[in-house]
Amino acid sequence: MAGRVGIVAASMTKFEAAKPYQHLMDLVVEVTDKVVEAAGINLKDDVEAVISNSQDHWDGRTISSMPIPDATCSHLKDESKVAADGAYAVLYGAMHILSGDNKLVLVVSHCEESITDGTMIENWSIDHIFHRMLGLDYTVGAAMQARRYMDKYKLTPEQFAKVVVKNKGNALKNPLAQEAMALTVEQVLKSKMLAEPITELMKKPVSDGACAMILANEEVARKLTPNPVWITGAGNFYEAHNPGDRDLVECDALIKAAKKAYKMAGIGNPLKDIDVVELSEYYASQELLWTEGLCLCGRGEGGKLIDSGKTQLKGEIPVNPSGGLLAGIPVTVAGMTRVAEAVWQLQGKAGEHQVQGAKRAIAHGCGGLAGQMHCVLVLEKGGK
Amino acid sequence: MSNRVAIVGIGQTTHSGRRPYVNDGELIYDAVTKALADADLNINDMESVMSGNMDLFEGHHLNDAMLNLYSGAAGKPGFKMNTGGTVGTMMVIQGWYHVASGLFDLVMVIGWEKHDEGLVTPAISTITDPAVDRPFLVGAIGGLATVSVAYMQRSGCKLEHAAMVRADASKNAARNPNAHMREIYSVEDVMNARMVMYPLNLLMCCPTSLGATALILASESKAKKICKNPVWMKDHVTVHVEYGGAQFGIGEKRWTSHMEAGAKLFKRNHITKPMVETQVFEMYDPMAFAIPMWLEDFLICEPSEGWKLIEKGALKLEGEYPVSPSGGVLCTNSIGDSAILRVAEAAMQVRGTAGEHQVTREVKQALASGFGGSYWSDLILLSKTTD
Amino acid sequence: MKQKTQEELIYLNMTLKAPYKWRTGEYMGEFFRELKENGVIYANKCPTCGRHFCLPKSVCTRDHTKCTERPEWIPVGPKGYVVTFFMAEQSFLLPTTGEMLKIPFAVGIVLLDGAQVILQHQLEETDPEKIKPLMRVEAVLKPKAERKGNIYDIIHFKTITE
Repeated sequence: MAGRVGIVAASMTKFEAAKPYQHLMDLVVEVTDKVVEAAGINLKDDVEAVISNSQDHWDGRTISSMPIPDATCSHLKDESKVAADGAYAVLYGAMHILSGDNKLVLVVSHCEESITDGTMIENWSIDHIFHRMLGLDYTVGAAMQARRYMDKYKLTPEQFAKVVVKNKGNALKNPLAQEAMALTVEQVLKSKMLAEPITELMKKPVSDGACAMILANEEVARKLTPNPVWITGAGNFYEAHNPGDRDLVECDALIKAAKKAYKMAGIGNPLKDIDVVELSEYYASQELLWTEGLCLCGRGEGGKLIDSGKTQLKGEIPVNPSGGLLAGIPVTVAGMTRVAEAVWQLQGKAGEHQVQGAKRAIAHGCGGLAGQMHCVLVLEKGGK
Repeated sequence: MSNRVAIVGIGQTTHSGRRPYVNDGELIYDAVTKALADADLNINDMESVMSGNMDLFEGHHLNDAMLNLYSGAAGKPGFKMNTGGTVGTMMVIQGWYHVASGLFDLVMVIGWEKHDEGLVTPAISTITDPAVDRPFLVGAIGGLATVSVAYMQRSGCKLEHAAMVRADASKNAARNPNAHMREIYSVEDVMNARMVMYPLNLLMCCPTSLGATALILASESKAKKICKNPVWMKDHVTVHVEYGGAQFGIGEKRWTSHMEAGAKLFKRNHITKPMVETQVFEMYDPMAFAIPMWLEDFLICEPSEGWKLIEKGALKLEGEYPVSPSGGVLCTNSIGDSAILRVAEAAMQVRGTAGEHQVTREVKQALASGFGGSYWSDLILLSKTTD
Repeated sequence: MKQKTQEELIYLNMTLKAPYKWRTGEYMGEFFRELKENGVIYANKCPTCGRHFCLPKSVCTRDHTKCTERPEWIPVGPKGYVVTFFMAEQSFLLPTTGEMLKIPFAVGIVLLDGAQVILQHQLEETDPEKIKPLMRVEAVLKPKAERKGNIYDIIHFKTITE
C-alpha cells in the first residue's frame, strides 16, 4: 500500500461560452502545462501515467482520448480514459497511486460543449426503448425533479433563485469564472422559462474548458509541496436509470456515496467537520437537494439551509464559493473542477473567494438524468 | 497487505452476427448471470459493477448508467471507462485497480458490444481528427491494411501466410461453441475470398459480432476463501502512443506500443523465453497478419520469424506456442467485448476448462492482449499460482 | 402477415444526427490559409528535436515543445513518397457526409519531401499491383478559385516518375 494519496497541484483554463480558437488538444496542453509548472515537475520524466477524461459523444469522436498522448507527452506511456464525470477520474487516479503501481499521475479533463447541441447528446443517454422518443433531456429531468421537490418538501422557486444569486455572485470573485453577475431573485425568476420551474438563469450555461491535477503518493507529495491535499474519503454510487424506478428527490446514490466517504474519512458530523463544499449543481434546485444528500441538513431542509445564509461565502458552511457550475463549467470537466477548487481552498490559493482556515472540504461530481450517479470525495489539508 | 488480484468468475455469451430478439441490456445480463453462476456468487456480493464498450456504435451516450438494471450496477458503485478497441482489457485493468487499491474486495467488470444495432466502420472512422484525417480513414480496416502492407514489405510475409492464419483460426473456432464464425476454411478458401481492402480480403478481416463477457475479480484473501481455482492477474501493461502510432519507423528505429508492452512486461516478470515461460497467448488479432506481425512486435519471436512459425504450424492449438486457440478476434469481434474475451479465454486455458479448444500443453502462465485506438496495446499476464 | 408484424415490433429504427462545429486550432487555420491562398503545403517544426510535422501539430508529441511560432514553418512537398497504403474495394458509409464511399479508393501514407511525420491522403493510382514502397508521388491541388481552405483542396497524390 502506498500510504495516502496527495493532490499536489491543480489547474484550470478560464471557462468561456465558446473557445473558437482552441482545438480540444490545445485546452489539454494548456492545463497540462499549467499544472506541471504548479507542481514543479517534469512532464516527460515524472508523470508515470495519464488518466484522461472526456466523452466521445460531446467531442464528436469515438475514442475522444486519441489526441491525449500527443498533448500530454505520453507517447509510450500508460494512458486511459474515464468516461464519466471528472470526479471519478480523480478517484481512478487515486486508485493508481493506492495500488502502488504509480508514484505520480496526471489527471486531465476536457470538454467543449459549444461545438455541438447538448440537448441531443443528453437525449441519447436516455433509454432508447421507452423514454428517448419523449425528447427527455437533462433540463426536463431537472424540472421534473424540482417540481417533485416543491410538491414533496415544499421548497419554492424563490429558494432555487437564491442559489443562482449566491453562486453567480460568488463568481465575481473568481477570475476564471465565465458568468459572474450580481443578480436579484426577481431577475432569476423572470428570466426565460425553460421547463417550469427551471428558468434560463437557473441552468448552468454552455461552457468550454479543461482541468488537470497531479496526484502522488505520500512520500512524493510531501517532497513536491508543503501543502499536499490528501484524499481521505471516497464514495460513488449509481441509481436506477428508469425515472419511474426512482424518486427523483430521494437522492439515494448521493446519500450512500456521502456516507461511505465520510466513514472512510472519519467524519461524524459533516456540518461541523467540513469547512467548504464544492458540489455539481447543473441546475439551481439541485444544489439544495445535493446539500441534503451530503447530509449538511436534514431531508427536505435544503430550502431552509439556503434561507439561513449558512452556505454563503462568509457563512458557516460555504457551498460553491467558486461560483459552482452555474458560473459556467462544462459537463464532464465539472466534477474535476470541484476537486480543483477544493484543493485551492485547502492550499490557501483561492484568492478572493478563499474560505479562511479551510482544513477539510467535500468535492462532488454527478452524471446522468437528474443526478443518476454521484461521486463524493473528502479532501484534507496536508500542510500547516 | 497484498495487492494481488485473481479472476474468480468467468461468463461469456455466445457470439453471433445478429441477435434481434435480445436487446443490449439482456445481452449484458446473459454474461453477468453466467459469471455469477461460474463463481457461485450472487449479484449482491458484488461491491462494484463496471461495464464498458466503445461509444458511437449502438447510439447511446452514458450507456453504463442506461443499462445498469441489467448489469446489476444500479445501487452499486461503478463508472465507465473506454479507450476504443482496448476497452475490454481496460475494464479488466480498471477492475484490477479497484481491488489492488484496497478500496474493494470483489468487483465485476463487463465488456460488451451489439454491432447489429449500428454501423461499425463509419463509427470507427470518427477516431480521426475531423479537420485532417477523417475523409481518409475507412474504419479500422484502413489502418490495419496499411500496417499489413508494411509488414509484408519488410518481412517477406506473403498473402498465403495470412490465409494460413485464417484457416488455422477457423479450425480453432470450430471447437469453440461461443465463437461467432465457426465454419472451417481451407487456405484456398481464404485466398479466394472477396477483396475488401488490399491486402485484406473478407476472411482476413475480423467480422462484426455481438456479445458480452463478464469477469469477477477478487482480492487475494477473498479469492482464497471463495474460489477453488483462482486465476491470478500477475501483471498488466498499458501502452498508448502518439497519434499515428509510430508504426512505420520513419527516420528512427521502429518502436511501437506492442514492443514497449512486451519489453516492459517480460522484463518486470523476468521472462526471457516467452514461448517457454508462457504456454498460450490469446492475442487481439483483428486481421490475419496480426498474429505473425505482432508476435514479432511483442518481442515473443525475432523479426521476420512470425510468418515462418505459421509455416511450421507452431502456433496451432496443438503446436509449440498456441496463439488464439479460441479462434481469436478473427472469428469473433464484438469490439467492447473482444479484449475482455481474450482475458476470459486465457483464464479458461489456465484453469484447464476450455473444453474442446483447450491447448494440449499444460498451461501455467498465459498472455492476453488488447489492441485499439491509435495502435495502442494492453498486455496482461495470467498465472495459475501467485509466484 | 403474422411473421411480418412480429418482426416490426422487435425493431426500433432511429437515425441519430448531431451538428458539430469542431475547432481546428489556430495553427491549422494557418496551414489551410497557406494552402488556399498560395497553394503551398506547410509543415511546422519542433525547436527541440527538429522534426517537421506535415500535417502540423501544435505541440511536439515527443518533447512537448510548442511548435506554433513562426518562423518555424517551412513549405514541404508537394512531392514525396508513399510509405504504405490501403485500397478499399468495398464501399462503406462515410460519417462526415452520410454518403457511400466511391470505390476503388486508395489512401497513401505519404511522407512529403522535407517532413519527418506522415500524412494520409487519397492516391490517384488504384491498382494495388502498381503501388510500390517508396513510390514517388506529387500533390495535385484544386485551382485557386475552387479552393476553400480545407483538406480537400488537395485532390489527391498522383504517381510521378523521378
